Amino acid sequence: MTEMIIRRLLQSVVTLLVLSFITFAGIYLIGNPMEVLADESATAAQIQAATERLGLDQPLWVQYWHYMERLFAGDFGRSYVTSLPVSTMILQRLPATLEMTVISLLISVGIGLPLGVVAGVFPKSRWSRGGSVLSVLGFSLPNFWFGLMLLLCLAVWFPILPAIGRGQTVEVNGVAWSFLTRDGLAHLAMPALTLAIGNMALMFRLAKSGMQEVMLLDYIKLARIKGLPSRRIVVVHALRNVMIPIITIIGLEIGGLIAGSIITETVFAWPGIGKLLIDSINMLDRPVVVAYMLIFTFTFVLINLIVDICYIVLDPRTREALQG
Amino acid sequence: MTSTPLARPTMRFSERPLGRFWREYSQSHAAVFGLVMTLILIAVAFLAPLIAPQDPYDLMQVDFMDSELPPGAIGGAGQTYVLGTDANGRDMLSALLFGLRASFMVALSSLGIALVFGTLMGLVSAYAGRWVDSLIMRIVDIQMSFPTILVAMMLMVTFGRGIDKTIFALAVVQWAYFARNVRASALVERSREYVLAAQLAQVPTFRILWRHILPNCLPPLMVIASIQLASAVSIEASLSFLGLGMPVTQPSLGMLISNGFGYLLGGKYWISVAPGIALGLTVFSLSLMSDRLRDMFNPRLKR
Amino acid sequence: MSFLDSSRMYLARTATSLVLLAALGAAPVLAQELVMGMASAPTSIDPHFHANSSNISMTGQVFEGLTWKDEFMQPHASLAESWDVTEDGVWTFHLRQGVTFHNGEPFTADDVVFTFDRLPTITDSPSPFTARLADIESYRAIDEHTLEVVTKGAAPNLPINLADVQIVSRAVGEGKTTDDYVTGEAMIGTGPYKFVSARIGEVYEFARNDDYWGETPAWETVTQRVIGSDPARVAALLSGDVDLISDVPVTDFSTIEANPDMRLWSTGTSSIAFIAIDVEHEKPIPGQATDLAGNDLPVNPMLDQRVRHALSMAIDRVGLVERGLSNDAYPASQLVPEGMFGFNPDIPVEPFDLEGAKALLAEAGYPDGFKVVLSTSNDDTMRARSIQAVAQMWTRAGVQTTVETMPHAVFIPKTNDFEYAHMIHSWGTSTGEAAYTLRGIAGTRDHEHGIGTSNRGRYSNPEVDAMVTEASSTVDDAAREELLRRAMAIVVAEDYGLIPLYNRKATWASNASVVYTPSRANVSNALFARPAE
Repeated sequence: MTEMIIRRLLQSVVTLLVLSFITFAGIYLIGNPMEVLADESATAAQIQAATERLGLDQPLWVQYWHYMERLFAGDFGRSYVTSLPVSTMILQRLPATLEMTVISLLISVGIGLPLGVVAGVFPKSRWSRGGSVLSVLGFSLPNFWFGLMLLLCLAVWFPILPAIGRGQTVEVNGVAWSFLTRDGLAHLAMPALTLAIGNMALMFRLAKSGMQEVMLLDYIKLARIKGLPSRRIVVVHALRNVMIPIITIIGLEIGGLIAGSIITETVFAWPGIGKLLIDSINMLDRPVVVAYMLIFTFTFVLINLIVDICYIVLDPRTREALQG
Repeated sequence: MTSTPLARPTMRFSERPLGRFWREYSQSHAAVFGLVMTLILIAVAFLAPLIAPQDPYDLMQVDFMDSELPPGAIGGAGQTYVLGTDANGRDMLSALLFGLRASFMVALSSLGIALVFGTLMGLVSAYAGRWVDSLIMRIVDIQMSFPTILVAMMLMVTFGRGIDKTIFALAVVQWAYFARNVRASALVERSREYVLAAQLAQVPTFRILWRHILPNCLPPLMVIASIQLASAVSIEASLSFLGLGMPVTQPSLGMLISNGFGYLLGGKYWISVAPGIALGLTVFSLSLMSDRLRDMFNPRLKR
Repeated sequence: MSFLDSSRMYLARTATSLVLLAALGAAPVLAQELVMGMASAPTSIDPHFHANSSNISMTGQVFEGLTWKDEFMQPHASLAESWDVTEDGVWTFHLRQGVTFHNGEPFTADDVVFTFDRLPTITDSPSPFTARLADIESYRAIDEHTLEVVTKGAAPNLPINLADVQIVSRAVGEGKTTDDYVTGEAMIGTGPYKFVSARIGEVYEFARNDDYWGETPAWETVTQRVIGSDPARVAALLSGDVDLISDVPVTDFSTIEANPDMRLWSTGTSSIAFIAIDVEHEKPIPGQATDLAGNDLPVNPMLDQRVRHALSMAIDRVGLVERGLSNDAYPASQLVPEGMFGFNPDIPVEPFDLEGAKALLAEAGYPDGFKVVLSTSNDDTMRARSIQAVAQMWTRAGVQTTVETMPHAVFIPKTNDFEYAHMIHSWGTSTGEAAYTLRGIAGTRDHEHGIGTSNRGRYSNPEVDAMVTEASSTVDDAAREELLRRAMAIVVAEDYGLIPLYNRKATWASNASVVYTPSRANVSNALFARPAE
């Protein structure tokens, strides 16, 4: 297992390097951020001076090398737009995204999983079939579409929830959270639900098909013959077997949630890191964009690794497959 | 081949492969609905230039003096705008039909490119083995470990917007699925006796791949293609919504929705709603279809 | 000559507030709190970091310049009580006495010197303030309250340029960097409001400076929340979360107007949208101007004045503004808005004449028209909408127009590389004088001297250049304005070198408890807001 972890870590380092270079080069190719940020009346000499000060006149590989040097010293650099350390900017926006994704995860697991289990136990019922069709809608339609429809229904036609933006916040240890206030929760409801729908559908399907398969297995049949109460069969015997793939998927979907949050944040004007990414792309603020990609990738790779380790611990049979 | 001509005419539809396929497929009413809707939508999309009341790409026909009219309004030239007009005076019904066409065209062409390229890479990977295989599969792993929308976004940021660039970005995010699956099927086929026999008989590699291995990879490929079509429409819409997709004068469904978004809370909801419903219906129909195909090819549910 | 300003009533310079003060006498202003919803966040609260309007608006509450720009963009005395200037460009600024910084230290000429010294040292600035000091040759403190500035010529724009240079204290500012301002440590000014706290990019808080030298500031506390999304900002106003919002989206005008508890405050800005046309290339830039079959034209059609005139005639500016831009703008006749120094009242808005345009095109040798590409950036909704309207109108006149829009970040570098021949740009005359505009977008490109830096069609007329240069060193206002008016007429009404489109409005909305004085410079801050009675 140690060998597997080391190999995976090495792979992730390569992935990170390749990805950071692609992002770096991509933004380098679009243009000089100083031309975009400069005042309309700025002279070429002024733009040139700013460009040189930031080292943007150097060849791509030199700029990349300098960036990497600083990165290994733990410095993500400073934003071209605000001159603030990139780490500060990202950390400040993180709580908003974090609370939205965590709540959406709770919604998707809390609703999708139980419904899926019930549907899997009674696969022939009309209700279960209807659920399956709806779940197709859930995971195939893009995120922003649900956001749009929710906005229309709950904010335009029947205005019961605040349309967009983040609500009132409360500071806890210097970090502003909005889920602790009523107003904040009302603002959180639609974005979190929008972000949750895709995963909810996925949870439903996984739980349903998992249960459906498990319920046909011999040991469940045996338990039934022995006359165990069916609730006990489902919860104790069947569910445990279904949980392994579901936990894996939850882990994997955290990455998907962060990506989905970019779109959800755009729809609901949610001031999180996804919004920061879009704004920074528009301003060619390379340090922020590259740092976002690196942090995101790193988190993603790390989660994958942890999931795989959990997997091995939970189910020894997979050990061989993963190591092979 | 010599024995079949006698048998074929006597076979009833339901016994032929296509008939069997249809019998199984049509067990799900939702899937039949999906298929019918998809066919209607594709027909409507490709007939758009013939059936749309206005050519929204022709600036002689679009009049900004008719902008933001509600559904059913009468325009300056006496025409009725059934679904209203957008901020530039485009007839929403026509914009929607052309938008549907744009969405389908982008999705289908990117899918075609991804299918060909991905299949090719999968076959090469399976057949060449060793470091070529490792290299291709690592690239596939990296690509697949990232959310598609993020990869597509980075590509659009790097290369700019436009139809060709959107198609390219979508092809890049899709090829890996095909490559991985073709490789898996090809590896299985490759170790079969008939392939070994063909190799011994010194049949050229290309011929083995083309005539023997590829046809056997096709069924799973079709399932993936059907899934990917829905997802390509959906990703393109998301990109356009973020302002990274198609050019403004040739809007796809996603961009039409995005254009209307600013008017949503101001009460002019029709600009977003009609394309929104069209997009929902399209993706839903495609997904119902692919979902059924996936179930049919999933051996575990066949018990 | 002297620009003496006898009034000490800093905040009372707007006509409306004068009326109010007359009614109230010297009554103390009520203790009130103002919460504002801002469309954009300043990139930094270091007053010398980035010369853009969000930054200057916000820090302008804490810091002050030697002069102050009113809502019509006219300079008035501020930290400088008055100033004299000699024929050879030696300015003497008499600084206001008895002014203290928020930490209690007195304000002296040395602080001004420190500030001027600091501007060039701001590294990493995307758009430094040094441009505001470009006219200055040297400066020194004569005594505690007298500053001498020597300019490179007559520099009639010096007072308005100095309005944006906000003075920081030497005692506090020595050795401080942009970071120290961001943390609030160095946010010590002389202004009417003290800095309290900030969560960067989200919320900024200020409190009344009770020791302010001028009129007592209107608000006890000022909170500025950044709400970038248009509908969210409007919703925050309607729900009572904020009292005042900037940049009201045109789609919500009717909603706010219909609400009896809400007020709209609107003014024309200094910003003009115009079409820049490539008049330099003999052959058109590839792909930008083609015949109907799509082959590049042998000669750039835009070199012909008649073609440019026809394109201007083909645009229905009144229709564009009313229908295309929902009346959130005025039709533009020239490159500066009405009321601005150098505006020429004799130039009418080009009348819409489709047949005339077609005839003129035929006369120029294009009876069947041709094809062009018109481009702009898509970050500005109004520009994105007007480009499609202009394309429709040109197409109807026979010039078949393809629209290309792209993000600002892509558009600007490409226009700088001259990849586009026909572009919609906008330009704000931030100095309040047409010379700045004529030099920046219509002057013959000369990077050495910072002329024509945004002249992306490379229009060039030596006569115009000469007039603008002469105006820049003419101190007599009437003579200077006459030169600028003549130059303006040549550019837009004789040469049709640039085609003006519209002058956009800036709109604020508030609840009934706030009165806002809309500023042409698009300033959104507490100084322009006061409680309603």
